[in-house]
Formats: sequence, C-alpha cells, structure tokens
Amino acid sequence: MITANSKKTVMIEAVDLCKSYSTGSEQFHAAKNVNLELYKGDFTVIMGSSGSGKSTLLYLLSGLDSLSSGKVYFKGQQIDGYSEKEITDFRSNKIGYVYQSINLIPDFSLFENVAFPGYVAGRGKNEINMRTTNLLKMMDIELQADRLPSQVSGGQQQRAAIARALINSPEVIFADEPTGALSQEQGTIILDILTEINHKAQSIVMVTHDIKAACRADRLILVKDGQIDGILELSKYSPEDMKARENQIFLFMSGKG
Amino acid sequence: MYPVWKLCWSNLKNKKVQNAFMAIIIMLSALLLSTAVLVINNTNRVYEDMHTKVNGAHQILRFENGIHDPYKVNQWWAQQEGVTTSEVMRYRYLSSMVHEGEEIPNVDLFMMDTPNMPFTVDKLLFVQGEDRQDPEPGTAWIPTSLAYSNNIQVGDQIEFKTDKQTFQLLVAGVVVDISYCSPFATSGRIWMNDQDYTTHLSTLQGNDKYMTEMRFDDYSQNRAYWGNFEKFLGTPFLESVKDFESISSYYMIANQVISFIMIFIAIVMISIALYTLGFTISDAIISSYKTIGIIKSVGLSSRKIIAGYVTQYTLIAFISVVPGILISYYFSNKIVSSSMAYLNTSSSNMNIHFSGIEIWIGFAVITVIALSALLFSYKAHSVKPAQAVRYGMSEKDSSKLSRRLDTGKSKLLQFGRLPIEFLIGLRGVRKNIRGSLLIILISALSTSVLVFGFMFIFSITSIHQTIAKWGYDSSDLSIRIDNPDKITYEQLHGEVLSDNRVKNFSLYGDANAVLPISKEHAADSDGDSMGILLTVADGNYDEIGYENVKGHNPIKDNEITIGVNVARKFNINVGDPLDIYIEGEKYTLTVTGIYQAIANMSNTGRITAEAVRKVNPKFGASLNTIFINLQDGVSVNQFVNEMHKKYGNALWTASQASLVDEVFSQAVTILILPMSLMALLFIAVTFIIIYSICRINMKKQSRTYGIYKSIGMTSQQIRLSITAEILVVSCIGAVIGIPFGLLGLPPLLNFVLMDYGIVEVPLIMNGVGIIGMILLSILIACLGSWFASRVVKSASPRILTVE
Repeated sequence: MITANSKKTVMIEAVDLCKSYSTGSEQFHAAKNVNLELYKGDFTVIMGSSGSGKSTLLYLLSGLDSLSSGKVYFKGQQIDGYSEKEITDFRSNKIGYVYQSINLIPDFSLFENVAFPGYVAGRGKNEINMRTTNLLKMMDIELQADRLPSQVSGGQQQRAAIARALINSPEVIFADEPTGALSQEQGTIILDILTEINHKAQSIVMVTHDIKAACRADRLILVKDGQIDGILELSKYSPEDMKARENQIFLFMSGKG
Repeated sequence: MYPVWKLCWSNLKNKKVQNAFMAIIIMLSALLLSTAVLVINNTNRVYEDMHTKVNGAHQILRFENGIHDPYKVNQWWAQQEGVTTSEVMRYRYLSSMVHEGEEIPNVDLFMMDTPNMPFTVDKLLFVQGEDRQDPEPGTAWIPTSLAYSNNIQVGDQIEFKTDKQTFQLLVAGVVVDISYCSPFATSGRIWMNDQDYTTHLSTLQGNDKYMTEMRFDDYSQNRAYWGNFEKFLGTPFLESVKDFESISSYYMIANQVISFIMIFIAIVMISIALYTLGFTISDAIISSYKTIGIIKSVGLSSRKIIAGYVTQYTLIAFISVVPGILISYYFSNKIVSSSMAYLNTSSSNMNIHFSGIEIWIGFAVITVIALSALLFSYKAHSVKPAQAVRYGMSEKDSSKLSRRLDTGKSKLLQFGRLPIEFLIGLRGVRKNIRGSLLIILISALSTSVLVFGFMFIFSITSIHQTIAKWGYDSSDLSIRIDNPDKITYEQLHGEVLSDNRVKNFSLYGDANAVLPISKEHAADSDGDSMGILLTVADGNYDEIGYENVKGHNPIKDNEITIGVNVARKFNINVGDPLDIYIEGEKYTLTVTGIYQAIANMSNTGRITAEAVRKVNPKFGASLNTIFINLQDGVSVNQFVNEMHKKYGNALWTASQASLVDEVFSQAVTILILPMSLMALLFIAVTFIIIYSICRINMKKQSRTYGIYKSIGMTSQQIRLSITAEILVVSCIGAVIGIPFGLLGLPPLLNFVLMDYGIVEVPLIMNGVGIIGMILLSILIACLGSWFASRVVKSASPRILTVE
C-alpha cells in the first residue's frame, strides 16, 4: 500500500471507519475498518466493482451519512461528532456534492438550483447572482439558466449540478459517478470541467468505475468489500500521457485481481 | 385471483401508516353516523317505551277559566271507546319553592290534589320513596326533573309560599311523571295529600283549577274524536290543551340538535375520507406508475390492478366500520342516558338497542368506500407502459407539471424576496396542487365546523345576551309579591318601583286562549281549535325587551303578536286579522308582529292587559310578576340582595341572569359533552388527514429534502418549509371556511329548530373565540405537518436521496 506523501497537506482523514446495514437478520458491512488520508488540492478517484462500498465511503467522508464506528477528520476536526448545526455548516460551506443521478431540484430553474445553496449559506443576493452567473458561464449553460432541469439535457443538468457544488467555494468537491448517467461525449465535457477546476487547486474526490475517467486523478483508491484494497499514485505520470496512466491503472487493477 | 390478492396485500403491507389513517377516518365516520342514528332511534324508543309503560297522556286538558265543566268533559271523553281518561284532578298554581333555604327560581308548580292510585293515565313511577296509594299528610311526591336539577332527595324538606303563608312538606317520593319531567321544563306537578291541599291551597283566593288527561288507543284518530267533542260542547274547546307533540318535544329537542350535527359532521367526514381516498389512490398510482407500467407490460390486466385497490379499501372499510359501530353504542348510551335521565328508573330500559339500520349504515359506508375506490383506481386503466417507464407519470401529467413549474411567472416566488423556508413552502403549494386543494378543503371544513360549533355552544352558554331572541323578556330582574299581607302592590310601587334606580317596569301574567281553525287549515290540524298560551303585559313590551322577527309588539287593545308556529299553522302575516277566544269571548285582533320562542314551541301569543280587560275588567290578579329594568350602572345583584334583605319571603326577587341559567344550564349539560366530543373528533381527523397527506407528499419529495440537507439546510429549516406550505394552504382554507361556518351552517340549524319555534337561531359572534377557533384549525394543520416531517430530522441525506 502506498503511504501518504509527506509534502501534501492532509484534508480528510478516516480512522477505522465502519458502516454496516441491517438486512433483516444479517448485517451487511458497506465499509470495514477504513483508514485513509485525502490531500488538499488532489483529484482523488475511488474505484471498485459494483457493491464494493465506494459510494458509501464517499457519503461517509463527506458527512452525508452517519458512521457505525470510527472517525472522520476534516482538516483535523472530527466531523462525525458534529452537532446538526455544525454538520449543516460543514455541508454548506466546506463541501460540494455531485450525484450520479444529478439530483437537481425539479421545480427550480438551473439558475435557482445553482444559486440556492448560496441563500442557504446566508450570502447576499447580489453576490449570489454574480457567482451563479459566472458559474453558469463557466459551465456553458448560461443560455439555459431559466429552464427547468427537465427541459435540458442530462449533460447540462450535470454541469448545473457541478456549478451548484461550487457556489459556496467549497474546499472539496465530492462527485459520485458524475458521468455515469451521461453519454460519452457529455461525460468527457464533465470530466474536462472537473479537471479544469482541479487545476485551479480545487480538491476533488470522485467515485467512478470508468478507467478513462480515473486517468484524470492524482490518486486512485481501490475499494473491495468495503475495505481499501490499494492506492495508486498517478501524479508521477504526466497528465498529458493518458495512455501511460491508463496502462498503470489497468496493471494496478489486474494485480489486485 | 392470486395477483389481485398479492397486489392488495402488498399495498396493505407497504403503506401501513396511510392505511391506518384511512381506517381511522372511516371508523370515525361510521361512529358518528351510527351514533346519530342510535341516538335518534333510542331517544324515541326510550320515550315511547316509557310512555306506553305509564300509559302516558296524549292530551292534557286544563280548566282554568271556568268556561267548561271539567267533570262533564271528562265524562264525555271517558265514554269514548278507544280513549282512556284520568280522573279530574284539582290543582292550584304556585311559583315558588325553597329547598335547604334556597329559593328555586323560575318554576311553575302545579300543586296537585293527588287522586286515588293507581292512575289510569300518566302513572307515576317511583325512583325514590315508597310507592303508596297517596302521599301521607305532610309529605309530597315531586318529579325527577325538579329533584335532579335541584339535588332534592327523599326526606328533604321543601317549602312553598302562597300569598297567605308558607308551608313545608317532606319529600316522600321522587317520581317519573312523564308529562311534566322533561328536560328544560320549568313546570312540574307536586303531588300532595288531599288534606294538605285542602288546608294550604283550597283556601287561597280564586277557584281550584282542574286537569284531565286522555290517552288514545290510536292517537292518529284524535281529530275525529275532537270533531264529535266540539259538537258535544257546541263551541270550540275554549280552555287549554297540551298535546303529545308539545309534551314529547323537550325530550327530543337536544338529541335532535345533537343528531343533526353528528349526521352533518359524519357526512362531511365521509366526504373528506372519500376525497382523501381518491388522493391516496391517485398518489399510489402515480408513485407506482412505473411499477404498474411494468406489471402491465408483463400482461396483468388493468381490471386486476383496479380489483387490487378495491379489495384493499373494501377490507380497510370493513375492518374500520365494525368497531366504529360498536363504539357508537357507548357514546349513544351516554348521550341518551344524559338527555333522558329524568325518565330513568331502576326498572326502565335505558340501554341502547341496535337495529337493522346500524347494519345498513355499516354496509352503506363499506359500499361507498368500495365504489369510490373503484372510481378513483380507474386511473390505473389509463397507464401506458411506455409513458409510465419514461416519465413516471402520464405524458399529459408530465407536461402539465412542467408548465406549472415554469418559474418565471411569479416574482414573489423568486429567491431573495422571502425567507428561504417560506419560499420553498410557497413553491410547494404551487407544485403539489392536488394535495394543497385537499388541505384547503379540510382546513375550510375544520374551520367552519369549529367556528360554528364554538358559536353555537358560546351562544347557549351566553344565552342571557340573546334571551329576547329565544322568546323571553330581557329585563334585568323579576319581582313577585308572595305575601300581600306584608307588602301590597301599592306599597311595592311606592317603595321599590318608584326607586330612582328603577328605569322602567311592566306587570306580566298569562292567560289561555283558543284559536278556531278554519276549514282551509283544518286538514293540517288535529282539531277544530288550537289552544295557545298568551303572555299578557300591563306595560310596555318594548321596554321589557320582547322582540319580534317581524313587525312590532302590541300596544293597543286590539293588537296581538304571535309565535312563528302559530303564524305558520294559520298562514298569518303581520297586518292580518286573527279570531281568538280569550276567557270564552271571541275577539278579532290585528297581528302586529311575529316572534320566535323556544317556550311552547312558539305556539303562543302576546297581548296587552287592556285587551283582556275588555272581557274581564277585573283582570289583574294573574299579573303577578313585575319585570324591572334598572338604570345603567346599577348592579342587579346588589339590588336583588337588597330586596331579599328588606322584604324576605314576602317578595320573590330574581335576576334575569339567574332565571335564564336555571333553564339553559340543562341544555348546556346535555349539549356540551357530545359537541366537545365532535369537535375533538374533527380536530383528530383534520390532524390525521394532514399528517397523512404530508407523509405521502414527503415520500415523493424525500429526494429533494435529501438534496436540501446535502447542500446545508438544517432539518429544522426543511421542516419549517414544509410547515410553511401547510400554513399557507390552511390559512387559505380558514379564509374560505370562516364565512361558511358563520353564514352557511346556521341555516341548517334553523331548519332543525324550526319545528321547535326557532326560525333563526340567535347565535353570538364572539370575535376572540372565533379567532381562537380559526387559529386552532390552522394550528392543527401545522402540527399535522410538523409531526409528519419528523422523519426528515432523523434521516441522513443519503437515505433521503436514495429513497
């Protein structure tokens, strides 16, 4: 297992993280004793087969779900013990979340969907409007700003979802298979956007099962049966040399069986 | 059949809360309907059983003016086949009774010289005391109504005041005297020993009065008897007649009102249940649109899907209706035994009897629910598998929803204009139109019923404010000279009525009169004449506060005002002439006004003392009560206490408020329990339905709530937004419900009370109370949604977005 790079700042740390669900008479362990560090500014990808627990891990790291046991630290602060106010402040200001199923609010326009977290965070109307307009421009969906999610394409919806995640300038973006429901072309656009914002020092943690998507990452964390099966440092390979990255990932995954 | 059961079972199992709530609403509807019917049926049955058991009178003739010979009349009736008559019983009136040092105000006592037992008509049933041939000297039997309302027991001493003396009797029996122990009655028969009667009452000024009672084997034939009777007399019967309808009316009135309100509320509740059922089924179809589409795509027919829903709700209805009807037994028993308490003896059968009607009610409720389920689930028929899988709803509904959600239309709903929680709530109203409409409807009904219910109970408890509109005077107090040896009218006038604190006064009494029935009205009537009680005033009717629904009070000696039921029966209007016999003499008076009065079911009239003096110049002895109004600011209670101190037993004085309380406290006692119970039921149903709708809606919106949470909204903010949505719609509902409660429902009550002589129930609009009820209705709705949204608090964004 590749260990932490001492030059990077730890942003999120998981210690003995466990999550189990009751399925009738049996307990299902979606996360089992996970110990992990995620670094500031990194584009981290979590991979694993279907049902391996990668989405659960993302929910736990982002504070969207409660732990069964263990601890999660964000910049040294333990978030699993947060009060409701603290956790909502955390969700509002520290993180942005992008879902595979997009999850825009169906009765809000794209503009409103993007702007809404700004109002929740208590920002001023002018500031929110300016930021929302800029983000919509950045995502190239400013012309669709007044449309409802059902009136635009899946790719445009997902771009709005990324804009929504960015509105409060979070320290980290969590993305759960953001290209999973999109065409290859739309998926590439989304990945380009994520790569671009990562280049602007935005930390990103993304769950994917797509090797091409994973090539964009600095680190790859492989999850199997709710446990960390291995971590691959991709930053040592040139971002331009996608083929080399793809091969490394392939080899890494093959080596892990 | 298997797929139908499977579908039905799956719906029952997966939507336990919704199904349980629907079951509760259906159960409450069945409970109210069944209670109302049981109360009506059993009130009649208990009364009729008792009436048969005691050989109750159908008609009571009173001879008070010496016009007809009571013995001859009694003999004539006794000779008629199919008629049982009582003996001729002599009596005197007294209007004062003291128990344990406290005067019982507002009573008309028939002091009876008890004839030999057993009675042939109106047999007395002993609830307390020894059943004897007649009361022992020095003792009396009193009716249950007087005993229960004044807490008088056997062995207690009661004191009576005549104009000469006071005398005491020991209560030796408390009896059910069916014609004179009804609720709200202010009259009662005191059964005395012949020796006591002769000693204390025969010697009083004036003559003995007589009473005879008749029971018909077939009461519907009494008109034919009366035709022959008046031929025998050669004139109409010119004394007073009390008939079965008026004897029984007071037993029925409270339960009629209660049953009417219950049936109304039950119908409202069933309508709500049906609408909620429609909403629930529609929602189930919409939320299972994909599933239904898939089921259909694998070949299950729409008919079987519909059969699944119909089976589900028929089962729920069946499970709910049975306990509803069984519980109704308990409530109806309470209501009937409370209103019929004066007929209760150890041997009387007061228990509620079930009849086939209750089974039919249950069957009808189940059928209505099943048919509604069939109607609403028919929507499943139109589910197109392709559209279902694509949109999760029909294409038409999908485009409708998109149109509705087009956000650019309302500037108010734009971000930044309102607090975020309120804004989301308002947007929820627009999005969830069907649910919002249902909540508006329920809030409107709940507001109207609560407002009306409060207004009705408040009006009854504060009846002294509207007493004139119930047919009573509205003076401040009444005075009667009980001992003329100690104080004469002249002295009273000099010492009391001339007091500068007295604003005005009028002398008041009554007289019996007979209205001959013309041929055109004869078909609707039981006889050729109708006896009415006349109020006679020597003074100004306006000053003592008598009111009319039309016209004005009588001023001249040729004027009369009549009760609404007299006007209706004789088709008389203001300005019409009216033939009337007073003390046997015929007059033609002009009707100057029509009034409503609960007493004697508005079968009464009001004339001036001058009108009676035209026949009987000495008329005046019966003007024994003086109504007094005091100057503004003078304390009535202080004045009354002063009179008590100064004149003691010689003068009977009571404030109007105490007299009114005496009569209507029974009404309040009887009405308050069922009315409060119904209000509580309505509150519970409103809460349950709103809770249920919110739960349904929240399930649909759980993903959105998950998103809200994931972007940093607190559970509190989300719950507030849900409650804000309900607050808005329930306020709209309340605004619609207020006029309906204030103006729409009272006419229904007028309709029920019309036969009892009240055409316009005097309701008091108490602003604070009404606002309280409106707020209560809104609060219930908000609490329903607040409790329903508890799930948001505990669920993580992951659970909400995945669900």
